[in-house]
Amino acid sequence: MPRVRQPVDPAWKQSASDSTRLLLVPNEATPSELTYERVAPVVSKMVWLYLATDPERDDVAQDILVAVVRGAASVREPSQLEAWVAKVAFNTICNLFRRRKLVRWLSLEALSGYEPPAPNIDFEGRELVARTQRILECLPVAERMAFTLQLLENASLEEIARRCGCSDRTARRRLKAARERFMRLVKRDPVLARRFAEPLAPEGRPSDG
Amino acid sequence: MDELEPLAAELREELGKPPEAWQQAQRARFRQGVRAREGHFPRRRVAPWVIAASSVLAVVLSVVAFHRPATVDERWLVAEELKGPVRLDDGSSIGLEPGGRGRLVTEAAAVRFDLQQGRASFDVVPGRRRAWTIRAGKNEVRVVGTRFSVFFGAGEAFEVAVERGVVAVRVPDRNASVELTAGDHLQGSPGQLEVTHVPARGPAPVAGSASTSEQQAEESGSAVPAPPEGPAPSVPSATAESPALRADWQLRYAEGKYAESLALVRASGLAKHLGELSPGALAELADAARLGGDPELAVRALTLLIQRFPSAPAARDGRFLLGRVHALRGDDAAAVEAFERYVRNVPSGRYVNETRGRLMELYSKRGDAERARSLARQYLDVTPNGPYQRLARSLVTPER
Repeated sequence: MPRVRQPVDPAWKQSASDSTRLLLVPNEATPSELTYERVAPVVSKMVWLYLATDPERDDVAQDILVAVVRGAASVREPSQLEAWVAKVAFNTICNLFRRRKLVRWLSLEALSGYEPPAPNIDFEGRELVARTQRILECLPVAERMAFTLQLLENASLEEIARRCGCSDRTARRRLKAARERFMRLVKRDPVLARRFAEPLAPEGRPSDG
Repeated sequence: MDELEPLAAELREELGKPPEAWQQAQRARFRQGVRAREGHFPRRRVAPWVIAASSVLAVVLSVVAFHRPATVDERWLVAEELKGPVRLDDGSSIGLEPGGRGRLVTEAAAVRFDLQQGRASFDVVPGRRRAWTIRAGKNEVRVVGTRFSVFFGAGEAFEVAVERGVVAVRVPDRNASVELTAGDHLQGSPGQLEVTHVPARGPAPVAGSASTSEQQAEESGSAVPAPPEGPAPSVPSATAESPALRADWQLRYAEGKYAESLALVRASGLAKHLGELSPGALAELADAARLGGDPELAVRALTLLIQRFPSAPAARDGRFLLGRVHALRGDDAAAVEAFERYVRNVPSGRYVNETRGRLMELYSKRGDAERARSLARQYLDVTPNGPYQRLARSLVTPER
C-alpha cells in the first residue's frame, strides 16, 4: 500500500488575514476554546470532505480537534497554525482509512455484496454521496485521498499534490489510476451507474457528438 | 473530469459545506470535554521511570484482576414472577408487562437487558456513570438517563416509545443510530422503520414505572401537568422564525434528519395548515419533504410558497426546486413548466444554468429537438465546460 508522504511545505492556502481574524467567543472562553475557534473551520472542512456520511465522522472530528488544540502550542510560527492543522487532519484521516483497510482485509466484512437502491423516492442526494463514499473506500488510500479532493472539492492538480505531499506527476498518476478504478466501480453500482448515464445519453440521441 | 463532471457537480452540491448545526454540536461537545479536563491541559511530560513503574503495576493489577472475577450479576426477569418493578441501587427501575421476559446483566459500569419478548419499561436515573444497553433481537437501544419502553414480539416487531430524555436506537438495517427524544415512537420490523411523534403530554402509564407526578412535572419544566388528551402540536409554533420558538420538526430538519422531521410533520397534522406557515418555514418543510421522501408534500409546500410569497428569496429558488421534484415524480410536463418559469422569472438566478441543462434533457426526451438545440446553444455560450456540455454538444451537432 503506497504511503502518502508528509507534506514538507505549508499545505494550506490561507489569506493573510486568516491568522488574525476576529473570533466571536464567550467571555468565559478558555485558551483552548480560543484555539478551537481558530482551527475548527479547517478541521470541519477536511472531515466533511472525507467523512460526511461516515458513522465515525463526529468522533474523528473530535479526536482531531482535541489533538490539534493540545498540540497547537508546539507550532513555532503562529501564522502556520492552519497549515499545520490541515496537515494533522489530513494525516489522521489517511491513517484511519489505512487502519480500516487493514481491518477489512482481516475480516469477512469485505464480502458484503450488492446493495439495492433505497426505496425512498428522493434520498437521492444523500444516497448519491453515501454510495460514492462507499466506492471511494474501495480505492487504495493514496489514490482515494487525492481523487476525493478532485471529485468533491474540484481541487487543482497543484493543490492536490501539495495536500498529498507528492509531486505533480505522482498526483496525476494517482488521479488517473483512481479515476479508472472509480469508473469501473461506478458502473457496478445500480444508482450511480444510472445517474451517471442519464445526462450523457438521452433517449434517441447519440451520447457523443 | 469531463464525463465525471455531471456526477461530481451533483455530489459537490449535495455535500455542500459542513452544516452549521453540525459544527455547533461539535463545538458544544468539545467545550464540554475541555471544561471537564481543563486541569489536564497541557499534557505534562512524565519521567520514564514513572512510566516503567506504572507499567509493572498495571501488569500486576491485571493479573490480580484476572484471577478475581468482576462482580457481574445476571438474572432472568419474567413478568409473572415479579411483584413489581425491579429496582437497581442507583434508583433506576425496570418493569415488565404481562408476558414479558428478558435477561438482566448488571455490572459496576454497565447494565444490559436482553428483551426476549413482550414490553419492558425503563426508568433510568441520569447522572450515574453506567451505560445502559437494551437489546431486542438484533436491535439495540442505548440510554443515558431517560424513561421509555421497548417492545419485542412476533415477526421481530420492535417498538420504542420515549417519554423523557434521549435514547439512541441501532437497528440492523442502518449504519447510523436513530436518535429518539421525548414523544417519539419508533416502530420497526425487518426492512421497515417508522418514527412518529406524539406531543409530550405527560408520561403515559408504564408498567412498573417508579416515577411520580412531581418528578414528571419537574422533568417537563412545568408545575402544571399537561392535559391528558392534548391536541396535536400547536401549528403556530411552526410559523415562528425565532430559533427559540422553532418547532421540533424544524430542529430535526436543521440537524439534517429529514425523515424524522417529516415524521413529526405528519404526526402533528401540520400539513393541513400550510397556509399559516412563513416563507422560511414553507421552504424548510418543502426541503424536509423533498429529502425525506414525500414529493407530494414538497410540491404543495413549494407551490404555496411561490403563490403566497412570490418575492421572497426562498420562492425564487423554490421554482427551480419545484421543477426538480416534478421531474423526480416523473411529471415531465409540470417539470418543464416549472423550470421555464424559473428561467423566465429569475434570469440571473443561481440555478439558471443547471435549469437550462435539465430543460435540455426534458425537451430532448419528449422529442422537441428544436427547443433543445436552441437551449443547448445558449448553454454552451455561457458554460462551454459545464456539466451538461456533452449533451449540449450532441444536440447542436447536426445529425448525419
